[in-house]
Amino acid sequence: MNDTPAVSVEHLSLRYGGVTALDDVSLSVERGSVLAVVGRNGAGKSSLLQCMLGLIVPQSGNSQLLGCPSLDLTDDVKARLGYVSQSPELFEWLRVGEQISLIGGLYPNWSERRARALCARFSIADDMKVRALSLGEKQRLAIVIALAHQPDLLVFDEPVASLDPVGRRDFLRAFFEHEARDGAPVTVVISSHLLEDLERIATHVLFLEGGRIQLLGARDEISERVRLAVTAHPIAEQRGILKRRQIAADQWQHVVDTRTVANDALPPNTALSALGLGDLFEALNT
Amino acid sequence: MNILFVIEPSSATPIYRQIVDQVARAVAAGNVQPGDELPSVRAVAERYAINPMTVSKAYSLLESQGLVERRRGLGMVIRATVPVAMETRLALLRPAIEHAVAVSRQLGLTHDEALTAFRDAFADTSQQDIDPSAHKDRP
Amino acid sequence: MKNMRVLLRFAAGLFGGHWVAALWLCAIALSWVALGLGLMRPMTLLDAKRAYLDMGAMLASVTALIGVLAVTYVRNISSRNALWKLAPNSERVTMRLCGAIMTVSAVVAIPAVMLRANAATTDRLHRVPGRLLWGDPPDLTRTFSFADVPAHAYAAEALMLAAFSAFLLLCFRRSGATFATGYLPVYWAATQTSARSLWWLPFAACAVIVVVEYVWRTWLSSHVETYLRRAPKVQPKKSRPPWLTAWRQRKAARSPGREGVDARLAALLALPTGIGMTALSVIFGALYLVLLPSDAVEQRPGEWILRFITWVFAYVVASVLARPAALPVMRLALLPVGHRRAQFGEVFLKVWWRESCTKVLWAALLGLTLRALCGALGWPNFLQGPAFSHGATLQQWVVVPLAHIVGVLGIARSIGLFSSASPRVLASINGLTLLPLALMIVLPLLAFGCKWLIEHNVEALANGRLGFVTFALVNGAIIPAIAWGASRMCRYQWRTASLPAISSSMHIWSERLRKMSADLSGSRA
Repeated sequence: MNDTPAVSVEHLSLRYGGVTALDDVSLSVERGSVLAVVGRNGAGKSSLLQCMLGLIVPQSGNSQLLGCPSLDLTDDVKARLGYVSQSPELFEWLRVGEQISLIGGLYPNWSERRARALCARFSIADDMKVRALSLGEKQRLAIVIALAHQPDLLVFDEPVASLDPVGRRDFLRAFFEHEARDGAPVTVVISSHLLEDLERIATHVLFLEGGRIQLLGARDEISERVRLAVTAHPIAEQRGILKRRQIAADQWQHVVDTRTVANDALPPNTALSALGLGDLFEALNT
Repeated sequence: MNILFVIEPSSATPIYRQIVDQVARAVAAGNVQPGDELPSVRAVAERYAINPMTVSKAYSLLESQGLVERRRGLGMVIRATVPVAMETRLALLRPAIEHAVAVSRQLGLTHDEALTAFRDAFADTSQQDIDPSAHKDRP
Repeated sequence: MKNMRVLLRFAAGLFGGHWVAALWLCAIALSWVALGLGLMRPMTLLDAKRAYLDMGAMLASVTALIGVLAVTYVRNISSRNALWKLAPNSERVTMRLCGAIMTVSAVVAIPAVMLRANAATTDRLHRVPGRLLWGDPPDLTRTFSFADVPAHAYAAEALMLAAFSAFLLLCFRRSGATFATGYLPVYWAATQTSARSLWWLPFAACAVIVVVEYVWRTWLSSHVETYLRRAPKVQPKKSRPPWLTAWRQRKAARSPGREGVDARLAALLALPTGIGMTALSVIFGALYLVLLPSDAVEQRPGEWILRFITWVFAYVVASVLARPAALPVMRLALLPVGHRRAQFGEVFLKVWWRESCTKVLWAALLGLTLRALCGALGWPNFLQGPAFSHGATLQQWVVVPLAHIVGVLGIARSIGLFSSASPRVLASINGLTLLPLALMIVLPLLAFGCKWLIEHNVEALANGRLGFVTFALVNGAIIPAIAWGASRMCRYQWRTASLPAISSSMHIWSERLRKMSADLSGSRA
């Protein structure tokens, strides 16, 4: 059971209205890893997460969650899932407490006590009407609902944009406070623009651009092997050259994967500089 | 013992590497004694809001380097095999020196001027002020 | 059990709140009462109380079919809402909820089938007297009870209701077809028994809605989210207002004097209305004019219902055409117009009135054209029947519709006057929400009071003779006069009105309306 990846996605493609949201995306997320999905607006982050969860039916390809096809999730697998969407679809006419117990009541592993503790922690009053909450509060409420049943797999779509810095730290800590059912660490897939947060927790990073995978790998490995090289002449497109851009008349900037690039591809004595996630993101997307 | 990590998530150095380096430096400098206990994985993760897996990866690496050992009931403790050899200590210093050299070159300082500045800085800064992570190792 | 309570609150809220559920229960009770009346009291064919049975049949059918529609709605929500869809066991809870709704529908389906069978049988008797039970000429004194309804009539009605329910489920379950559009076929299905010639109309309506919806979302809508789930919508900024608004603003900018200030404020407050909503309400108003009953027919039993519906419907039409929209009062916040605060009521009225007046006039134009066209074509058939026949007289062609247009304009004006009367109402969100409802109740009550007074004091208009004159007089003159008086009386309140309070409540209100219409129509845009 432990060998099946938490998420596996094969050849997902999604198009609508002439726009390609996803283009042949394949990946698998091992149990216990934290996958950060980053990309510019419209890169296909939300589409990927929604296809992953079976909320959107892709044109082709398939995905599995905890070994179960996403489009036909069993109750057992659903009970082990937590999802927070970009704009949570809550039931506006209920009170916060009712919203929590309506959805929470469906989960076998639900704990009222834990939900209350989370509410207090994310400072949501549970006798407020959901309608009266601000967007940030709604998102926090969705986070409470997602965390309160201690899921094995958490999927977050831009969850922290409206949390303040303290709330965000608390949110990041909350991931690791419980273990998955079989004692393995919790698996998290999270998309966000707040790279500083992702850098704290991500074990893997996925860069998306125009619905395609630009770069996918372990976070540590990426920072140890992906380098920025500036040369006087452009280097031909080839394996290991992830992105090329002219930054001045006689300066070309390349994002280089030092492990896969050929030895003689770069001119001798080229200076290679290491990149944080933020710099890498900028280098890949401009 | 109270080892205080300084974690910079946005740095180009992976977080696990930052932890390993900081422990290694603390050991090399003698700031921690053999038998001192490292804070638990959970405590470190909790404190800096980072992934516990990253912390345990760092600790495993430290263990395989022979700097710390896992003791039943105590967690990770600094091994008694100190003092660390001179070469190791110099190797640890090397990235920081390289960085300082790069900056000196950018500023157009000569070899002697830079050396004097280093000597002065060494004399001015007392042992306590040295922040284990004050340098960023950018290759 | 606590969870059950939460589930019930969830379900009640899903359909619009507790009072909707209460209304539903009332409708069920009334349906059974109507059935009881029919069972206890055999009636002659021309008995005036027969109208209760017919209304009971309609009410019961609507209630039963709305239940089916509600099931499709629940299924749609449960498959679209990510939280619900991803929760374990949610499928089972959805099924249980749907089961409960279907059970209630089945309970009200019994009176529906029986009353419809009764109505259908009498319909047939009306149409072919002598063929069944009554001889020729028909014996109108004979009583007619449920015992006279043949078994096959029950079977036919049950079959029709069941078939239509199945069709509704089929059409609205799979597609994300909008919930609100489902009301139309349901309403038609409730009015058409198997004895009517238009029994196929509701089926056709369902099919058309589903096809249009499919075409829309397959080829015309560009976002997958519009039908799959809600996404934060980035609205492209329109740099220029539509030409009508722009023209008004230019004209207001040039107008001189004190009047000019009001005109400029009004132009500033005018929101460009969505073309879709305007078109829909204009079509709605036009249909009202097309379907006006003839005034030439002699008094027949049941005719008064038609006339009554025309009266009552005028308020619905007027409130659709003259719905006071939320105004962007915020735009005035930073202008030095505080000293003109006392006139703001009139400015608001001006904005609303211009909008509603335009719509009513468009509706009148379209309605009169359609009415003429229908008369000339001789189609659809039911418009040529005695109740609607426009004959050849000028009165039927022009005077009756004009009188109704005057009446509707009067109601629209009154709605505007009442709405702009008190800034205190406008400043509270509850006031804003309840205002249209309150007007929907108060205006007809006032009007029926006046109508009663006139019909009992003016000989020429007694007994509903020249009903359209009474209609125009009451709604076009008396009610607006009362409204004007009321707004004059409240005018002092405007001197101390708080613009920020009005602005914020209007903002909340318009957000709420927007959200509600999005929820109801199921459109995720």
